[in-house]
Amino acid sequence: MKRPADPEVPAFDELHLLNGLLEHRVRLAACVLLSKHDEMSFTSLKHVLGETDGSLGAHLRKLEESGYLAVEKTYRNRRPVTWYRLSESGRTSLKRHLSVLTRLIDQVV
Amino acid sequence: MTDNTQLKEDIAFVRAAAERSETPSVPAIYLLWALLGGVGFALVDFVDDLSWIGTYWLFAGPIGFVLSVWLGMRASRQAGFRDRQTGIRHALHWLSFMAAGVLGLALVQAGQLTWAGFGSLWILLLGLTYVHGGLYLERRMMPIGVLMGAAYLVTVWVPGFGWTAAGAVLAIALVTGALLGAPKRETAS
Repeated sequence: MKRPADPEVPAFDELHLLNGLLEHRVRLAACVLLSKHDEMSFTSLKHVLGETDGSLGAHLRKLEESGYLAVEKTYRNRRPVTWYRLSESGRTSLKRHLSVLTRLIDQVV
Repeated sequence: MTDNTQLKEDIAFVRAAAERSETPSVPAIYLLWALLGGVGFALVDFVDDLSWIGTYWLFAGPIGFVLSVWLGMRASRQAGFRDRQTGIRHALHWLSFMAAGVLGLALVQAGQLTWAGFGSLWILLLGLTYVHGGLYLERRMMPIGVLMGAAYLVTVWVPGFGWTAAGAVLAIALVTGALLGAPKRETAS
């Protein structure tokens, strides 16, 4: 039986439409940053997000394994630099996730 | 379970990260144009043959532009950004100023503006370009634009060394901008 809607409580009908991978704020923020800037290095992402190497590395690996991020390794002054870029599928997923989030926020506010 | 408090906190975290991720400003570009602009403006007061000024800007303009693009790309990569979109936005911003300056020459050719008037108009356009840059690209450009507006009035109303004064105003504003924007970011790895 369907429960009657309580006008005081936002009905999060669309919660199931959120992308599970992007529900973690660090992964969401990393994707948002990479949609704003074409490419960012691991260090600059770490600096901006305030994460440790291990934590950020794990989050970025998940995104990479899901095909959301493309990775390129280069060298600067003989030191390795890892560059991250949002893939097309990552961009599409982020856009979809943000549009669901926006609708949810509209219900809350 | 995602609740609305968690949702708000996450959005605030993402927003704060986005605000912290501005590509760095490049003091070297400010210093480069302080030098090129200061010398170029002062030339008007010290050189009798005005064709020298045209020749100076014919070389200084494009060389300064190419050097600025290179310096911008280099600083951006060192800070851990490879941001073509921002680079293109900056380049188009300054190219539009150059295009407006070139189109302004039509007023001189048509006899509706003197060369001195064109120079003042050029400074006014420069001020406007800096103000727009401050609004849409980098906030520190805003006061430089306002000072260029003052420099424009100096070239119109102050006899004698008005152009040297305008060049000095530009150079001081740009050097101040460079000093205020010295990077504090770690290098990329």
